[in-house]
Amino acid sequence: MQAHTFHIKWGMVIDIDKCTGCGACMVACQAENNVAPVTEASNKLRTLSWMLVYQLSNKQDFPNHDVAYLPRPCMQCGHPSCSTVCPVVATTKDEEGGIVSQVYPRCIGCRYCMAACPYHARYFNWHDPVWPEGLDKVLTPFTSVRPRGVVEKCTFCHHRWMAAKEKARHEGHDPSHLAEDAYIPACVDICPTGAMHFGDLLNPEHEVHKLSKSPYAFRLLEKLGTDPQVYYYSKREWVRRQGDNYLKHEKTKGE
Amino acid sequence: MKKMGLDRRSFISFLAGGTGGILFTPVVWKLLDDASIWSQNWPWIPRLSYGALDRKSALCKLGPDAYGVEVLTVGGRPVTAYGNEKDPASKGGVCPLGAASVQLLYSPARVKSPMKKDGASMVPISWDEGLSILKDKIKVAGDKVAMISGDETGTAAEVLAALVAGLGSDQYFLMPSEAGPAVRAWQNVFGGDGQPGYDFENSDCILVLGADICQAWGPGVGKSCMDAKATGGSLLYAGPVENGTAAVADEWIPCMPGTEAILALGVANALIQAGRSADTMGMSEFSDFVRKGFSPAQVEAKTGVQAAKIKDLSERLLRAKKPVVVIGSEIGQGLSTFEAAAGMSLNFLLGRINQEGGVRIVPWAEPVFEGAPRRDAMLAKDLVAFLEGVAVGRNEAPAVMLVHEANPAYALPGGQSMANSLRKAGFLVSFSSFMDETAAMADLILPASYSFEGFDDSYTPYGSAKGTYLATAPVIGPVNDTKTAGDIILAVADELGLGLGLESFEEVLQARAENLGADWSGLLEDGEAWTSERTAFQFFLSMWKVPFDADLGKKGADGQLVLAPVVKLNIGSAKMATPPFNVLTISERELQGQDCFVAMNKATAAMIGVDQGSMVKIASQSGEMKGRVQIFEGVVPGAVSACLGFGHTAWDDFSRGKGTNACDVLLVQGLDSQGGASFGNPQITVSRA
Amino acid sequence: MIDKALMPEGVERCSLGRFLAWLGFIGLFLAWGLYGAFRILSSGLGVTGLDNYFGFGLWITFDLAVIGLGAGAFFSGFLRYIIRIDQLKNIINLAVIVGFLCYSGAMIILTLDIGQPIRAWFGYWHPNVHSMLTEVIFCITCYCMVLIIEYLPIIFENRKLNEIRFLHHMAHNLHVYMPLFAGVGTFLSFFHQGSLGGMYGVLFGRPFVFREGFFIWPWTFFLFIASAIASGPAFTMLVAKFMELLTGKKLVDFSTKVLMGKIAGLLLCFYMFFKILDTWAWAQGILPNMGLTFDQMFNSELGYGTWLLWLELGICGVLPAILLVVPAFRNRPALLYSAAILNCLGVVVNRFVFTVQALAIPVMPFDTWQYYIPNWAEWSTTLMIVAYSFLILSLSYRYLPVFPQERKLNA
Repeated sequence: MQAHTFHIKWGMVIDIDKCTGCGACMVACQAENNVAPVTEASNKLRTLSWMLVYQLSNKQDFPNHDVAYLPRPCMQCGHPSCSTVCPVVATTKDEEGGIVSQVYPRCIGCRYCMAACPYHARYFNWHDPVWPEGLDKVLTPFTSVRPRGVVEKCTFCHHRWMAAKEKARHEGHDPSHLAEDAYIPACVDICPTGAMHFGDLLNPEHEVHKLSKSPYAFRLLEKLGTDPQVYYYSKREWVRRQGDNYLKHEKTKGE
Repeated sequence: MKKMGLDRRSFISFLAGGTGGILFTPVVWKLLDDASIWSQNWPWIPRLSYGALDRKSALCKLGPDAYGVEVLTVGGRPVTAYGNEKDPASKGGVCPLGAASVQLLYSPARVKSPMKKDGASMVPISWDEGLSILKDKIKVAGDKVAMISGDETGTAAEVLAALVAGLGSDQYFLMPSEAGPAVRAWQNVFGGDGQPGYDFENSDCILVLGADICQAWGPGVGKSCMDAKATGGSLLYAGPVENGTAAVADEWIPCMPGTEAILALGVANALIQAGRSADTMGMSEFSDFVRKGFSPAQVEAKTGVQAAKIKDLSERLLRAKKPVVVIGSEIGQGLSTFEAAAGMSLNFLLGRINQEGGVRIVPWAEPVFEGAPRRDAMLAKDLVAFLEGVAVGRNEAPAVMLVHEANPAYALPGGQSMANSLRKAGFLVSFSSFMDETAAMADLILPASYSFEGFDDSYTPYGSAKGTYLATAPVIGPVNDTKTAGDIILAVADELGLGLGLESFEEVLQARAENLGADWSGLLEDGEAWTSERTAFQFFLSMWKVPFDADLGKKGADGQLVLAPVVKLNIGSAKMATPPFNVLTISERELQGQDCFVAMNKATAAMIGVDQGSMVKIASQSGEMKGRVQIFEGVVPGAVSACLGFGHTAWDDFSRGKGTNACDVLLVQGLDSQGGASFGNPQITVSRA
Repeated sequence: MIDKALMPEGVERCSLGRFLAWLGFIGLFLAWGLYGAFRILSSGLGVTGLDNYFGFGLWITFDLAVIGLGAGAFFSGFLRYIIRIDQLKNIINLAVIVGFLCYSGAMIILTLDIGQPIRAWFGYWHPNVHSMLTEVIFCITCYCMVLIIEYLPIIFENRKLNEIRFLHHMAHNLHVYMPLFAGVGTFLSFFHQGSLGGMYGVLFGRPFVFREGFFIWPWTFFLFIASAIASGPAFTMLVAKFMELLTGKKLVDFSTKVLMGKIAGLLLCFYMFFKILDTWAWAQGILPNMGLTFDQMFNSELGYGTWLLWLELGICGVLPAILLVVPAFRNRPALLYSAAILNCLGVVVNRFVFTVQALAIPVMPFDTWQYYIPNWAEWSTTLMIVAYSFLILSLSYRYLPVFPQERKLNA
């Protein structure tokens, strides 16, 4: 399928060297997007975490061991492996900004997109969501509650973009040229160490534009050709090397 | 042949006509259309409700810190928490507990009305009945009333202390924290006044000893450290476990659990060798003390940190223009006064007291009530020491124990024995908003409203480099039959005829704001924090006002396995169990079903003879816990790391019955001469379970 | 026997009581499967053993396997009606029924497998023309309809039904059109067998299955067609043999079986040649380009070892190809049937590794291998389809003139 050309490319740059792995982003995401709380989450292959924090290890023994945390939202790939395979056009990448959509009422739950995504960024509703009594009062008005049987994923808090554009229009600004931080997803917003940056990768006025061009910036599995809109940043070579598969003799990106 | 039935033509007409006929009826299309509508409107899937969006400022005090958040409301209904950019304590960040704070309003663990113990169960009662029971009990108890509060920064704790003091008791305790030992060290050992804070943001070399400041000291601290790093500063972390702070530090310096203070004095020794000195009284005694007991070889033997590394640390501090050293406990509690002093001594030697990018001493807020203890007087009293005294009969058990914003039955070292000490109180009253372990064993629960349901405030959380004050109005009225803690206490005081002089907690906060010179309406209306750059005036600083404890750092022991507990705020804090929305964040390395994990490195596991996933029992002199072995190379050899926050027995399905409580293994290792109890890294035995 | 009048003329069948007892036995599995299906439809796919890594599991493996093995129908039809290999008329009815069972069974499983079964028709209403799965959905439903049309005349040839003139004529008409349906079926089948392979080959996020290819079709597209036509005839022949064992009667003469074996053998040789070439190119080209090595694709501890590959390519690939293609071997019944079994097993292993192993492999370097074990809900419903097939085959055998040679062979 012909890839769309966009004038805006929303992207994230996550500074792994600033992430303590606290998990606040995961909570904020859940709350913002009405993912139902669960009493049991031991089986991570059954939970819904649009944002998931992975622990990375340099695999060395004590005392040379090093640890890092990698928060993983949807990569909003420029060349998505998921949307092209969907048989019912329930997920597309055709809107300005480059966010890969997910239309819950359209999804038939075939999970082909999940098989396609190497980042495990897509989640299936194995059960109907259960909100303990009263807790449904804190549902935000932003994201409809998904029934069982459909796939869901991070949308970069797409509703926040809609709101930011609306606000810009209201204030007489150009909604297609939002200022830095006029639109940021909940996870980036809440991060207690400021490890996450968000903005238009194509806009030179935005911090992420500059950060994404750093030699320390990398993306996950670039060799597959998914062209993600989420960048990571680390000065540690071993961290960057874990961003992609390398043959032994291959040099790490940025080295 | 006579044509019956079908010829070729009529066969095709039959097929085409049949298909076309059905498609021409609306049946198929209507059914399909309905199917797509049904499948997205099941009655059991909650529907969203909409309304005007607004943000109201509120306070998050669920962790050891306190900071401002903004609560998003939809048609007046609180839905989720965002950061408050105007709060210098948080800089707009939110910790994982704060991120789940709004949902806690409707937590299944909320106490819905006053309750009293009736045999083995709790029965709901009215507020009038509850207040009158408490009044009667206090009348009988006279001055044998004690209190415990976990609200280290709020004025509610002060109202409670005013009541207790008014009754003639001086048993007003705060839950153990970093502030207690730090303040005791500052005031007693160095002769200072005020609360130490750290100007991480402007420092160019931050040496962190033990404390997981970037993960567990509140969102602003992490951000400040990252800001320092971004401008070329370095962040060094020394501790037994590669925790959140180690993950973002430029370097992790592994040291044996509980030996950070020894490392500090080793570095102090190196600084003195390099010619550093503090121009204060007691310097020569201090210098003799570290030279004698903390030579590089001695320190290396105890901490496991190589002499060269100690020298390197001292050199890096010396090279830096604006270094700062902070010491604390991995779990935010349990440091002894002298351990805190050991860390602070480095800031003295480096000349970093009341300097930009160094330690800044924030003045105390004067009490609102006359006769009420100032915050430092409360911090000077050590709850663990007191309850231990009750356990061994050194202290008399109070006739009435009032517990506010705290869960001592769960979160104190040697959990079970502390719970027993609490049980010895004649009458245990909990003001908890949640059915925590303490509330579950209380004789009476007078449930306080959740922070978002009433007025609340916070004055300068420990660590903050400047004075801050935040006050917030209710975001929503009480969703259950609860009252603001301050108002409950004022009502009790009123009933007892101990009129504290102010009618409502709102007035109390107004008075506090006035005392500080903050604009009350500004605080409430735009969530703007009052801040002050003022530092406390120091009359007479000394390196050696009280001689350093010679037993310093007896926590770790050679050749023994030692517990290295850690705290992860997403799992919970001393007062908060895992909130519903945080269950998802607990990793498969920390909890699997009902079993929590304990981490150790390969060498340690081989030494004990256990493997990844083995179920082990960890026992100290005070208690035991169980967990599965997690091989993690980010733990020093000889140490076993366990996460606090598991093993709840009360609360709700989101936290109850998950793992075991590592607090049970924590052991009080003695009281220092300044009244502080030190705990945190007991010797343990590990056996297969 | 009370149902004697319903049976084809001149054949022997067991007593009704025995037949009902047999149906009762099948019914146990059907009932268990229906219970599983009920649980799945009423409370969601959470009752299965599937998860976020293994969104595809036993069901998809089963579907792909039976669709592959069911290729006997379209390919035999193609050879019988288009190429006009007349001897295949002895087994063509069975091939059609087996094909129908494989496809209808797969479709029943698919409605259980998708999370929103009542939206199943979205595939036609909102098709994504870029998705291989869309092609699969269209082709297999169309082809399933073709199979129904092909099956109908066999049903109408039941002695009693055939007395109804309308049905008699309808059967006659359908027979007249059979070459057309066989042609349509061949076209559809070719495409969806290919699309099923294409579904995997296009997954560039899954290095285990990703393949380059020709135009929009990755090599797996063609490999799946080849493997299906190589195993389909063998499977049909095995079903015939299996029915002979169950009924104790001769149903298809040995020379027809050998012919089916020969067809399968030749196609298997063709398939294995390209499959081995493909595997080599994948290991040498695609994997290193993605920064991966051959060894990283396998994990013996979790059961996804290289043994699966050697089993698929060697024992279930090259070996049966030789056995089937050399007349001296395939003319010996034991070797013929063993080779056919291995041939079919090879396709099942192929479909399994493409479905499950592909998802078990960590692609992100910090990700971990996962394993998957189907649970009762998946087994019960899968066995339900097997039982359903036994049921239809049993009824067809008892009441329909499936095997034209039966009377002669058992005279």
